[in-house]
Amino acid sequence: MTSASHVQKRPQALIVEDEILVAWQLQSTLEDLGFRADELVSDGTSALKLVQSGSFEVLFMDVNLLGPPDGVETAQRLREFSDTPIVFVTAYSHYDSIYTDLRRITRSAVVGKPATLSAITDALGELGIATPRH
Amino acid sequence: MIEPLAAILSTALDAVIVMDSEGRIADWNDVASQIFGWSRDEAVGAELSELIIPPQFRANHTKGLERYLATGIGPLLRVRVEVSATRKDGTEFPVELSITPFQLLGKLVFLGFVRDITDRRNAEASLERRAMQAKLIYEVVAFAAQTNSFESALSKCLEAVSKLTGWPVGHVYLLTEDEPPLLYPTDIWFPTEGVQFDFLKAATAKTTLPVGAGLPGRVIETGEPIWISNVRTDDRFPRAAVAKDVGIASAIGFPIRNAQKIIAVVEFFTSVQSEPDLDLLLTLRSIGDQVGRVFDRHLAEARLQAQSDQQKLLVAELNHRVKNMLAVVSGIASQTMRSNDSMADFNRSFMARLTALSQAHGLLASQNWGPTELHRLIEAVARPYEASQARINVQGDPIKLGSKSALALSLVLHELFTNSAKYGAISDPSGTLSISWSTRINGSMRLQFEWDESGLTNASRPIKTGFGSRLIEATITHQLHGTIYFDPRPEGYRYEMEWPLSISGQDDSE
Repeated sequence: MTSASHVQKRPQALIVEDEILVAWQLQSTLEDLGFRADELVSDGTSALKLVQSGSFEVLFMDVNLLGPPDGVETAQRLREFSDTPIVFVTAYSHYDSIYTDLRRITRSAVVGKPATLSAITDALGELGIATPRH
Repeated sequence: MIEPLAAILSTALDAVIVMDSEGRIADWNDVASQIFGWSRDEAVGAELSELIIPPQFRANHTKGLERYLATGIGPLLRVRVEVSATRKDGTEFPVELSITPFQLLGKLVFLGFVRDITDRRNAEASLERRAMQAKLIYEVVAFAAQTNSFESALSKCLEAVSKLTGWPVGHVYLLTEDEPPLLYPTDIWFPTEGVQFDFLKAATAKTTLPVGAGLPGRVIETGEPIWISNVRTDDRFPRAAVAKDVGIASAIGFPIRNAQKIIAVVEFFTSVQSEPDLDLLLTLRSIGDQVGRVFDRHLAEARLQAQSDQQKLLVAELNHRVKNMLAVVSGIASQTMRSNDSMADFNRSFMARLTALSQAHGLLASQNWGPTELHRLIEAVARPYEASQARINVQGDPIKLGSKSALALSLVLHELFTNSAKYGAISDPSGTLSISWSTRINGSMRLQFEWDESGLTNASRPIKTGFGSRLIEATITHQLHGTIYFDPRPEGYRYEMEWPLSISGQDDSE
């Protein structure tokens, strides 16, 4: 019982990433940090549906989702009804123009691929999200 | 001959005219005869003004003479002036003149020295025109050097040519690379505003010309500037009717030429009928060549820029792919670590997966990351098992996969092959592995893929849901948006998978 109620209290993260191996690794990292991260989706439309019906502490979003909508478009649509913080995960570098689009999304942070534990922790810190086990 | 002056008259290099106080010619020398055309006999005794002064200046001459005689004031006396004179045939020409009054044998006479300066004037005019041409060519070149557009260089060229020739209207025809080449009218006109030649503009806009036709077509054909003195009577000027209506008399056309060929023709029009001027045509040709070089240079610059942009894109793309690949490798490492207890097991599994990925990567790179044949992907992943005695049948329609699906599928195939080599058909001499696929349309194009092992005698295969099985299933369902059915038959495993090809076909970026 104690452990079950403890599990219930863990903040939930939604992972939007079509590359399954990358999604799993992110899932493991987030679980290590104390998040619940059992929701994995591979496209923006499913992500939007899940956010509408559930309550997530944070979204981890691949920028280059096979769209439409791609990661940026999904984030833009999400902002029409939700201010859930978003951590963009991307293989683009800071020099790419897409970073300009990403910075326009409110309550968002960016993590480069491959996403390291410390980069994820920094991004969560930037968004003011406490990591349960850090 | 007037004796005291005989020596001067006969030796002077200039025309020398002696006029008496009544305005009559008292004497003149041979040089005067040569210049004016009148013999000494014809001249002596004639009214000087009627003989050599153009009609419009005669009254002034007479008044000046009267005033001098009355007052002794003569502003034109004892100075050198340049005036017009008339020859016997009535033609006017410029002369330099000096007149000196003096007493000769008690009578007042005027001694005039006259020099024909036609050549000097022509030389001056020619110098002036050359200077003007040089200045205009310089303007065109200077402008061309700093502009980024061929079109604005052409506009500048039109402006300069109008200034140079005084011809009011100019236009550019462009030669296309059609086969056969055609001349198309452009919106490049000089002046850019003004309604006087609107009809000509409208007619030109509708006039596309083949090589050899019209003024521009003939410029292309001959490669040289062309001057039409009267477009109305020229039967090879298709816009003659309109030219007549808007009052155009003459036209010039000259080529804009780059290193290889003519790329455009500039045409100019004027309402004043004008005869060909060779000097001007040469200048126009030179201006045309200058503008043509701009075209070459800017073409080269544009190509360099495009190459440099392309290079930057390639580098950015490569960086992106490498990071994606590292993310996948990092994922393989972390997931393999979680499913292997010993470092030795981890090392073996990780390296095998990395090798499969590397094989697929090499194959995709050889296809420029474009669509890749499924047959070749299977060959690449199956390479480590070529040496085995197993019967492996591969059969399916030629089908191409996008790079992202191909990479994902390479890991699935690797897991299937590894498992089969450990416990399945590849490990058993009596086993057979059949890989087959086909496409079917159900709303969208879908790929049906079967992995069928059979003939196994040793049925002791452990059924476990390890990382490999999880990866196979999740790749098909999560990544490829497909479905998978698994039948663990004792005589051999069978997988049936299917996924939409629209997903795999369009994912060339990651």
